[in-house]
Order: sequence, then structure tokens, then C-alpha cells
Amino acid sequence: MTLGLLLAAPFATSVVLLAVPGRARKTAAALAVLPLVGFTAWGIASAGPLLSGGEITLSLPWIPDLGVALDLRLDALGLLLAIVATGIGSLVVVYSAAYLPADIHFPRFLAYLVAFAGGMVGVAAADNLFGLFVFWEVTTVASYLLIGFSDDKGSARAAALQAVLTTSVGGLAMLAGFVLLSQQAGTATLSAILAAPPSGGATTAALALILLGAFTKSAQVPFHGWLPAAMAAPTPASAYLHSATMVKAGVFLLARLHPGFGSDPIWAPVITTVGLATMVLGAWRALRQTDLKLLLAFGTVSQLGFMTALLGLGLVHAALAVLVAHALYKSALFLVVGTIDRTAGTRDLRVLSGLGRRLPALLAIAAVAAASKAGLPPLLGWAAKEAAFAEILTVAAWPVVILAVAASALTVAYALRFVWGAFATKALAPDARPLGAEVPPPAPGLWAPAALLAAASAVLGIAPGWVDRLVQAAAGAPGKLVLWPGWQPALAASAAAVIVGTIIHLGRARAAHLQAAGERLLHRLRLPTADGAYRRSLEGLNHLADATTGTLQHGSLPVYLGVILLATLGLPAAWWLAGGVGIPAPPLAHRPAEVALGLLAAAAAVGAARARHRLTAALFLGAAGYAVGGIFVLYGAPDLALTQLLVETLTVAMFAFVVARLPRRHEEARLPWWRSLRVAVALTVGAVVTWAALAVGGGGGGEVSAAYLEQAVPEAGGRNVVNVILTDFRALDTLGEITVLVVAAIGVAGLIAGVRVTSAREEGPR
Amino acid sequence: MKLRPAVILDTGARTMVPTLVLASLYLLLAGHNAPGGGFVGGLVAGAALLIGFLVRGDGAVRRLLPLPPGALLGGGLVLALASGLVGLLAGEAFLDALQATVAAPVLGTIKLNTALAFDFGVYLVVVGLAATVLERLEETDRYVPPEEES
Repeated sequence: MTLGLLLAAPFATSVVLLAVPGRARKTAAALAVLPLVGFTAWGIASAGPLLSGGEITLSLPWIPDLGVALDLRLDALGLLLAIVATGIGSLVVVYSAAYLPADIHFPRFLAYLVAFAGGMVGVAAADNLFGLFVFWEVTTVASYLLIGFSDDKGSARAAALQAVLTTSVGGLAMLAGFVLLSQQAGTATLSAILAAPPSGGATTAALALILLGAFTKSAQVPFHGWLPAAMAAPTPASAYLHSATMVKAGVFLLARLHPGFGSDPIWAPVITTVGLATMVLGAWRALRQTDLKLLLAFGTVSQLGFMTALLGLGLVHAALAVLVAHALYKSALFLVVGTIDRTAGTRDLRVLSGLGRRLPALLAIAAVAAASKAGLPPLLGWAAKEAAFAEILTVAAWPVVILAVAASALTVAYALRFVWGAFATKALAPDARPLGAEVPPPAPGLWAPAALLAAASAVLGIAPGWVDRLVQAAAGAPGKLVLWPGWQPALAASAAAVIVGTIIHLGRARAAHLQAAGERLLHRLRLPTADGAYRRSLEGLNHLADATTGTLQHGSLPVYLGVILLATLGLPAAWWLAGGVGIPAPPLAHRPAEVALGLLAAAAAVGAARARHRLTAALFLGAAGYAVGGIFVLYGAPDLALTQLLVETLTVAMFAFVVARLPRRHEEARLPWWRSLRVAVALTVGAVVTWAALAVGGGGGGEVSAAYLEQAVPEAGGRNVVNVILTDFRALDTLGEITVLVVAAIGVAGLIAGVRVTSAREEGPR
Repeated sequence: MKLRPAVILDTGARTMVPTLVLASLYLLLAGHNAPGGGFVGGLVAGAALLIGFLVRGDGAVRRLLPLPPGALLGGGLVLALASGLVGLLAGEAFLDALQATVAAPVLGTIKLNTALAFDFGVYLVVVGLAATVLERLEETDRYVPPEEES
């Protein structure tokens, strides 16, 4: 139950925060920190049983008919993600209180951030596929709001749109995969599926769809384009979403599914390939960035690729170790970039120079975090990377090892580039505007959270015991995080990476030339880029929509009407022709008056069809309607008759007004075939309606009527059965009908207002 | 195109409109036990609006109504929904009508039924729809189309 409350707390806080006034920044920050710190503390305190394989479960029914329940099941793996999300989240909240300028509506920002954290905890703890999906999409929506938080900037809106489109397309594919998977497994409960995983072609297809969701969320090639674009978000949001949490959701899902589906035929080849490609591409691009934040973004892409590749190889332990290490150092680095941006007014490494001498403390924080990123001892990044290399060397083929070492070397290079670019004293480009000599020392809130994160990287690197136990329990696989693994082959791989990376950095001018040449070559090959693909698919979608609208909404009223009528009646007509229901032959009339009214209605209908003037046709239609109303009276249906007569009256009167605005005569059908077609449609519709009337009137329904008649007074206290049906027995139908009326009213308002605008335009100035 | 209201029509409307509104309310209230109901009542009220519109022209619909048509539409829908929620809150099914008999000192016993509230919602929506259409017709009325070429 505690778990349920702790999961609900962020969402409740989020709602409260929306009501907090913008100036109450401290109150807002305190409110936002509370549920996050609370969860972290509870998570660490109750970790004991989870570390030895236990779990905390809670089941809340939601849509029992569909097998959808809010099943929560927190195990070590979920705890790992949840602690990372809430722990780093609380530091980010503290940081953003110091970081965000006064003109930003701070409580609203925190409301989104805390809701996002709640979504992450939900993803971590969900034990039902559809519950998982819902929380997954909560993070998507919250990230959309956070990336586009500066909604007066077009670039921020575009970035938010790109992120939400990419991840939600993947999310929808994942939902389809979940549906398919739950069909195959016969249950939607994740733990049950993993305990007895289905296999076969359909399962593989489901897995492929789910992978699409994981890859888009974790910014894997070719869907990585949204993540660098998402740097339009305020830096605390980037530090949180794009280092520690959201992008880890995809990796987490893979780790979650690995026990059940690691042996699927597509698991290893697809995931490993995508991961390796992402890893190399991200590292390559990171080395070319001049915006420190973009450098980190591409670095994140690369590291996510590394984790994904490890999971593809089945090395869950190593992947999770890298996940924790990466969350700690990358969020620290993002926060450092934010502080630089805030104090120096830029994060362009071509403009920054000499910052290290003025802000030595910040330099120290960045250096520790970057060293963890580069995988240097004695930091957590080192322990994680050593474990990863050791495990890779035992299972993977040489090409994978070489790629991993190459990407690791590039990582060392861009980690050095980050520290050098941000803090070194360097010769600036001639046209660069150098920084002012006075850079104010940042407020404690701007460096303390980053310092804590960097310190965590160091402390947990020196004493990895607790993290090691958590990661081992989460992975459920062997592996060890240690400060000193002893002399082993992995050490040589690390050394090679560090040496090559340092050489790349020292020869950075030449490396940049080489990279530029490489880019030119790639450009000449006309390989599709991620951004280009995104733009083209958006354009393609718009073209498709235009073409569809142009084809379907061409503006011919007779065609609309014909299509609607034929579509409505086509199915019953086909059924009738196939002999599904014979034509019953009830007596055609009971009374002479019926014959007279029937003839009147028929004559009016013929008159309406033959009328040359619109108004005449409208009057004939009204006459037919009155005749039908008369028949209702004869059959003892006063309510029906009353309604019919009133509707006819109002319709004819309104018709008269509309017709007064139209040309007096009908447009004549110019082509003979067009005229014949209209006649054919009219006759078909008439025939089917006649048949339907006969079939319905012919029999049946008696029991239902009798039941309604019996129950009207005792059940509903009304003697008018028609009204009782409308307002009580079938009230839901009536509710639907009046909703349709409201929609129709909105349509009428829009329709006629639209006509007015166009006619005013046609009139124009004369 | 400003028409002078015909005297007979104008005089007739003075009595017709209030009478029709009263009749519509009667139909609404009586509907549960006798012919009538929210839909029919709403249509009669719509007819009253139509007569007002025919006779008085511009702005007549809005003057006859206590609220703008949009408020009638929305309010009606909300009222119908709310009356359905009463049943839900009382532990019955959504939209299940509840009845109560209240003994009032002077009026005698009064039967209350949530179905009436629902029906009143229907009434409001129908009136709102008629008013929307008529208001739009008024607006197009102000616009004189260019002469037909023939």
C-alpha cells in the first residue's frame, strides 16, 4: 500500500503545484522535492528484501473486463530505475530553483517535472503491460511539456513536437506489440509472461514492435534525432529527462524483457546492431559539437547505444551498471553546463575561455564527472566500464570488441573536449566575442547538486558494494563491480581506449579535419540523416492528408449525400439480396384513412422529386412528413406524431429561410448518365427503406414492448412509456442523441458562419 | 432589406409566443405520464422562437432567450449528465432515474424524479439547437447576396 501512495504522491503534488502562484518559488520547490526524496528514502530503506530477490506487490483493479489492472510489482530492477529517477529528480528540483530565471512560471515547471518522475516510478513498478504503457506515455506527455516549456520559442515547440511524435509513434507500436504479446501469452501480467514466455512468429512480431517503442524512447539510430533537438528544454529538464530518466526507460524495458525474450531470434542481432550503430554515431557526432549541451546530448546517444548493445549481447549486469554510472555523471555534467550558461552567458566552447581559473570548484566537479564518463579510476564509470569490457570479451566477437573500444576512445576524447572546451584558457577564433573578465561566482544552488552527483560518482566508485548488490539483484545475472578487478584483458582494452582518446584530443585540429573529410564523404554518399528522415516523413504525412482530403472532400453535395446513403444502406441491401431476410407481407393497411394518408405521402414525395423550385420541393417534403405524422396518430403514437409534426414545421420554416438565400431553381443535372445515377441511387434507397420498414413492422419486438409496459410504472414511476424509455430505460441512448444535437449545432454555427465569410470575401471591395 | 412587421402577425405573436412557451413547459413537465417530454417541449419552444424571429427579425431570438444558445446547449448536456451521475452516486447504474415523494405543507405531495432533470436537459439542448440555427439565419439575413445572373 505504501508503494501505491508513494506512486500517487508525485501526481497529487503535480496537481497542487499547478495551483501554486508563480512567485512562491521556495514553497513550490519544497513541495516538489518532498515526494521524490520520500520515495528515494523509502526505496533505500526497504531495499534489503528486494536485493535478495524479494518484491513488493500491489494490485488495484482497473478495467477487469479487459484484463487491465494497475498491478504494481517492485523488484530490484524496478527499484534501481525508481531510485535513479527520484534521487536525481530531487537534486534537479533543488538546482532548478536556483537556475530558472524569475520570468519562468516555476511551479508549473515543477508540476511537469514531478508528474514526469511519477511516470518513471510507474514504469519501474508496473507489472501489467497496459499499466506500463500508460505510465510510459505519461513520461512522453510530461517530456513534451518540459521540452516545449519556453513555448514562446518556435524552436522549442518544434523540438517538443519532434520528441513527442517520435516517441509516441514508437509508443503506439509498442502498444500494438503489448496487445499481440498478451494475446500470445494469455495474460497481460508482466511477471507471468516472463515466467512462461510464449514463442513463435507472432511473439517475434510483438517483440519487434516493442523494440520500436524502446528504441524511439532511448533515442537509438535511426530515431535519435529528437534527443539533440530536445536540448531546447530548460537545462534542468535536459539534465533530468535526457540523462537520468526518460531515455533510460527504453533500456529498462529491454532489461525487463531480457529474461523472457533474450533467446528470441531477433533479440541479439537486432538490438546489438542498433546499439553499436548508435554508440559509434553518437560518439562521432559528439566530437564535432561546439555547443556544450549538444556535445553532452550526443554523448548520451552514444552511451545509450552502449547500454543497448550490452543488452543485445545479453550482458544485463554490465548494461545496468553503465546505466547507473551514466545517470550520475551525465546529470552532473548537464548541471555544470547549465551553471556555465547562467554565469558566463554562453555554452559555446568557441567563446568560453579561462573559466577554469575563475571557477575552480566548478572545474573540479566537471573534471570528476567527465573522468567518470571517460571511465577513469577510481570512479563509478570506471568500475562499470571495466565490468562491461570484461563481460564483452567473454561473449562477443572481435568486431564488437573493436567497435566498443573505438567508441570508448571517442568517449574519452569528447570528455576531454568537454572539460577543455568549457574551462581551458585558449586562443579564441578572431571574430569570437570574449567573455567579460568578471564572472560572478555561482550561487550554492547552482553547484551543490552537481557536486553531490560528482561526489556520488567518486564514492560509489571507490566503494561500489551497495550499487553492486543492487545491480546484481536487478540483473539477476552474474557480474561484479569492483574498484580493482586485477590484471585482466579488459584492462588492456581500457588502456587502449584512454590512450587513443587522449591522442585524438591532443591532435584535435587534425582529428577535426579528418572528421570534416569523413562528413563530406558521407554527404556525397547521400545517406539519409535522422533529421531529414523525420522532416520527410512529416511532409509525406501532410501530402497524404492533403491528397486524402482532396479526394474525399471535393465539395459536391450530391456525391456526399449519395455516398452516405449508399454506405448506410449498402449492407442491409446486400443482406436482403443474398436472401438473408425475406420480405414479410403484413396487411398493407388496417383502415381506409391509412390508405389516404399513405397516398398523400407518396404523392408529396413524387411532387418533391419533380418540383422545379427549391421552395416548392421543401413544401412537398413537409407535406409528406405531415402525412406520416398522421399515420402515427392513427396507430396511437401521440408522442411520435407530435414530434414528427413539430419537426416538420420547424424544418420547413427554416428551409424556407435557407432557400431564400439560394438560387430559386435546382441546378439541373447536365449529363444524362449523372441524372440516371441519381435516379438509381434514389430508387435503391427507397427500396431498401421500404423493405426495412416492412421487415421491422412485420413482427417481433412484442416481448420487449410488453416488458417496458409492465415496468414503466413500478420501475420508473411514469405512465408515458415512450418518455420513460427515453429518460430512464434507454437514457444512455438519449444522452448520445442530445450530444449529437450539440455537435450538429456547433456544425451549423460553423457552416453558416463559414458561408458568410466566403461570401463577404467574394463580394470584396468594388 | 428591413421589413415592417405585419400588424396582424405582430399582434398574434404577442400572445402566441408566451402561450407556446407555457405549452412547451407543460409538455416538459407532463411528459412522464402523458404525451410530451423534453424533446417535444423543446420543439414547441423552438417554434415560439421561430415565430418571434419571423415577426421581429433581427436580434429577436437573443432577446427572447435568457441565455445565449451556446449556454443552453452546454448547460443542457451538463444537466443531463449530472442527473445521470445522481443515480451513480446513489449506488445505482449511471442514468438510472431515482424517485422521491415529498410532502409539502401547502402543495400536497410532490413526486420528484431525476428523469425530469434529465428531460429538462434534453429540452435545453433542443431549444439551444433551434436558437443556434435561427441566430445563424439572422446573420445570413443581414447579408444580401449579389443579384442572380440569368
